Amino acid sequence: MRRLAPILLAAAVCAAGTPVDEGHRAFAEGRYADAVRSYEEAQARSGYSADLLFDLGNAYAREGDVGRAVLSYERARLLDARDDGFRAQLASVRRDAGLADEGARGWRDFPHALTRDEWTWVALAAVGLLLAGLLVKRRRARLWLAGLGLLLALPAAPALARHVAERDDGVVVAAAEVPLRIAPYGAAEAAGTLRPGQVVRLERAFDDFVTVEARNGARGWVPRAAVEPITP
Amino acid sequence: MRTRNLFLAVVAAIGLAAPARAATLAPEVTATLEPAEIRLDEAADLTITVSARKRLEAVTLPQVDGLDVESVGQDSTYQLVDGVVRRVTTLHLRVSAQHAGTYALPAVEAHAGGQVGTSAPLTLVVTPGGSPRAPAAAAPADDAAPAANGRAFLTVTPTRDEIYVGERIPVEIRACFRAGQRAAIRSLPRLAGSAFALEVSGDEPLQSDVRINGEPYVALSWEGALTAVKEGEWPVEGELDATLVLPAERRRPRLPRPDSLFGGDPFADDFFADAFDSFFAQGREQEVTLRGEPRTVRVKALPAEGRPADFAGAVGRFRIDASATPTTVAAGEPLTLTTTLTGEGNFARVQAPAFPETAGWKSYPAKGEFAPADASGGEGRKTFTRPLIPRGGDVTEIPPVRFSYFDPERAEYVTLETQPIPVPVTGAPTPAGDAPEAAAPAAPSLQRATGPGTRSLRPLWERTGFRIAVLAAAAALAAGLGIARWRRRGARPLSRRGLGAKTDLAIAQSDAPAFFAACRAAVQERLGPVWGVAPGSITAAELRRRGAAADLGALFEAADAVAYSGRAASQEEMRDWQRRVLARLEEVR
Repeated sequence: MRRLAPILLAAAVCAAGTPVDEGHRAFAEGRYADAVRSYEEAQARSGYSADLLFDLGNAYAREGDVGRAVLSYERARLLDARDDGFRAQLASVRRDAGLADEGARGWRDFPHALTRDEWTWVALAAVGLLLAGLLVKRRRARLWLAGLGLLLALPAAPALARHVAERDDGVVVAAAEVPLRIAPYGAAEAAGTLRPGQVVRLERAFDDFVTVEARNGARGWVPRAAVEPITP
Repeated sequence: MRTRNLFLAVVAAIGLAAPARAATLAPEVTATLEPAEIRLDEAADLTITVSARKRLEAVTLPQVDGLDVESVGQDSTYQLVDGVVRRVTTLHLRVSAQHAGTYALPAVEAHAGGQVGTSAPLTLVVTPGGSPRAPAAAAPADDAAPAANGRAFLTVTPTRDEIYVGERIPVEIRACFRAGQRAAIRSLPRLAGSAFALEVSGDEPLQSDVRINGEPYVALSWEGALTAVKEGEWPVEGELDATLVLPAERRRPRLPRPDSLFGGDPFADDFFADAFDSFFAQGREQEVTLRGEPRTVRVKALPAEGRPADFAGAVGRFRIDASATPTTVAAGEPLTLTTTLTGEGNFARVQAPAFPETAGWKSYPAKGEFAPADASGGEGRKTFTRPLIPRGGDVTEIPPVRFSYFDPERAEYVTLETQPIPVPVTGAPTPAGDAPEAAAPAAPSLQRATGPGTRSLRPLWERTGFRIAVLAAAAALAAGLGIARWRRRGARPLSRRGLGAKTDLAIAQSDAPAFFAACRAAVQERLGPVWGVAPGSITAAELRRRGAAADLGALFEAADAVAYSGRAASQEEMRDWQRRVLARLEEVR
């Protein structure tokens, strides 16, 4: 029996499955809160992955937590910019929550064709090519390298600038709408409201409040707990 | 008619008294600290006043290490400044220090309408507890001298002497001018100090003739409401800017009457007709601030005991009612829950009752609308409408919603609760797109978590490893460049001066082998990198094959002859070769 103990233990572990499997099972059975817990446990164990964040966003969306669903999709897009599923789900949740589609359309959204890390590599490659162009002596090779470097640098520079600007974005994760207060305390007058799932730019913090600026230009103080940065 | 004319006269007086200037769009921010020096066990009142044409969006408070800034309250009002309506918001804060010392409070920023205004920075001196405070500055001279003389004064009379923080009580504001006194009003009444917020209902005062201590006066009365901002005993003292015309010894030129501004004769009022007819014609004008005897009001803090968790600051007496339309819906179809709070109190602090989180309902943010029942806005009805969507067909009623307020008469917190509203949910779940479920992903088959994850979502440029790698690459590149340059420098052929010195020595010593060897080496090292071949591989044949100058080929042959056949060379011949070699090397690019 003693010899069988490790085998039985391993079998029990296999039967229990990974947190991701448990999350999938809970999701399929409509236990979305359990699915969220399992996915978060998986994330705590193995770190962030685009697909896991997508699953987590789906579970949050089913649970009715628009804010955290949007947050998860936005984080998934940081790791995989070209997955149409992330984009479609994000647009769907935003639309159904009555949030404006805040993203740019068409060619103006080219910075999001790659992740910010991918753009960083492109920019580095551009710099490398330009340096190589300066170093080689053969005129034709120099022209080729410099041209290629410029070709990469032209989109990489504005795209990286956009990603740097969006570095401090956050998502409103409160359950209900959050008053935008004119001063950092609860009884301060509200100058507007933010809705769950709305993307804002995080500015300075004061005690338990943080200044945010919405993409429609509205600015004010909200409780720090009501907003989570997309880049934790 | 009398009051209308009076109002027009006031407006005209305001317009004439104040020079026209372009109102700036940027908010005007002032910050005052009172007192500017405190003991460690005391606190100073920080008052931030923002005057803006647009709605105030955000105020950044000073954040200083060692200082604690605590909010006390706020009030807001509208002011007519130079013909432009500005919203004036005042934030009341208390500043205390953790240590003695001198603290610099940075400028306060206010954002309104996309514009930013800043205040001047402040300084707070904190002395150790128990040390004497510096004497206060002398009070400014009272500019209401005529009021002291009984020509005019202002009274603000609250209806009670003891109220709670956040409570709103009616006040009567009365500006009295001795009969026959010519005057123009330049502002609406306001309160001195920061302990109360005053709301004046309407710009147009009521005019009446009164007798005070047997003297006839003309009284202008406003209705208003006073809201307590901070705890303590505070004087209620009103202020009103006015211009009085005092008897003058010399005459002033008469100004044209601004009748054309309004058409007709708006200055026919008994009180102001005479005043405006000759307001600017005779007498000495004096701008004054009317004040009166302050009345002390005790402001009590709201009790912490028994405060409900959902209490959001409402003070007064309220009733709650709720209804829903439509009363029958299908799952996923929206309905509107209307919650009405009726009563009297500080409606500015009345916020929408929270909707309880339930599995059956999806709630959306509520919108509020206030309908005052009296001129002061102390009584009325605030209606909140909140969209709701039933998640499934098993929902039967809308759960009760709760609202808590503080009743100052009973001195206790009261929690109201609505009755559940029966709402039979019929029919099948709604089509995709209407119900919240439609917001969720279509099917679990979308699940696809695979592969290992990354520990951080921070961008590459913020990661230490990446930064080190880039720096290392840059350092390696720089080192490589440096090494290449150093090598090139090491492989560089003898310079003109170096070759000259070396060959000069050989010529002086009549050492022909050394001379020709130096010349050959110089040519090889110069041409090798240019041709991309090893310097040692350059021979006379290679020079001829590549079409080099014939001199160089002859030099190599002469060098061979000197080296292998022992041919001698005179100093003259060597100098000639030296000159020719140097010239040829100069030609090589």
